[in-house]
Amino acid sequence: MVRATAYFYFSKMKKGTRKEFENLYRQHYQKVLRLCLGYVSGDKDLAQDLLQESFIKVWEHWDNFKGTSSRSTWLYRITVNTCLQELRMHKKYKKAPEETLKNYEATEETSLKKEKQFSQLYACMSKLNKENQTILLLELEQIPQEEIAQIIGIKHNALRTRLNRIKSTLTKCVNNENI
Amino acid sequence: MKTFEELQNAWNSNDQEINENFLNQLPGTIKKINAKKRITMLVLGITAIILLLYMIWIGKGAPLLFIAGLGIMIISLLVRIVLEQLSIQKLSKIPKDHSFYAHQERLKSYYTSRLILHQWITPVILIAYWIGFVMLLPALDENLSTFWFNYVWISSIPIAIVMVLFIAYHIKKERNALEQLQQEVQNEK
Repeated sequence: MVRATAYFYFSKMKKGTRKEFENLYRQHYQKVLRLCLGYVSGDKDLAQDLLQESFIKVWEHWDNFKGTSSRSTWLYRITVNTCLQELRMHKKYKKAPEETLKNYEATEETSLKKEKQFSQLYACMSKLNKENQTILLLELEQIPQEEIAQIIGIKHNALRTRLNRIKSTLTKCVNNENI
Repeated sequence: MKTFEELQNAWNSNDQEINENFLNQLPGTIKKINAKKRITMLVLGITAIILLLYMIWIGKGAPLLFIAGLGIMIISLLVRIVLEQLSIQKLSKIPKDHSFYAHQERLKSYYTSRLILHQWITPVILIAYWIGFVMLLPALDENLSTFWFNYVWISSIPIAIVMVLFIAYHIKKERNALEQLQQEVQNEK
């Protein structure tokens, strides 16, 4: 039933556009999800909510894309702005990193170590302000620096300097936490 | 000792299964969002019509002061509802595909307008509402029994307190949102 309704609405869009949206979703799913995970200290359910909210916005604004940047830059801009706005508006997203760490204690022994390591990484990330956190998350995703500068709205040189400082802060923090 | 590159590699190895269901459910979700918007506008429109019809019905043959008071109360409510709706629409119209900084600026301007709405416009509307209420009292005193007249004006006191607390809550909320936006960006640009 859901599938039938979906096709009815999808059919209203041009076939090419529909395909393009689905491709964008599948192609950038992992990166967008990890970006969202970074904002909610690794909570998978909350990250999934943020991802879905972001792609709903992408869908709603699909025709507004002017082509002045790549589709991916456009997508990350929407994701960053949507995630941050959702974090501001809803208390459920303001989860302390320690809380996420507690959740991992119930998981299997084999993945526990890895999960704990990630949780500590999230804890270090959460110490940064939202702007630096965003820069770091985009850099971790290996998004080209020119593109990150466009997403944030600063010059490439300014970004490079900032990035060095953020990387150094994160590495120090993580090593102090014995990752 | 972990290097940034090692952290990056670990980060990128954290892949999850793609949620394909979302693609199937998305059109339904969009439909629900649009329906919700339409229902809100419909409810507000019906409320406005009912209030105006009520004023016309109750105002027949009533003293001018009473009609004016009721009119002021109803118009105050409608103005507040319309302003709130316009404000909600303004937020949804802020483009999401601007850069982080440009989006922040638009949000700051939005929350500043919300603060003005709560700090200045809402109190003026509320004062107008209460003036309208006071204008009703002479006619109510004439037409209601002492018990019901006392009931009406005494019960208005807790309502007034709730309204003042409501404004205070919203002023605090918008201030917090503005402060949060300012904290998110340190002066490193």
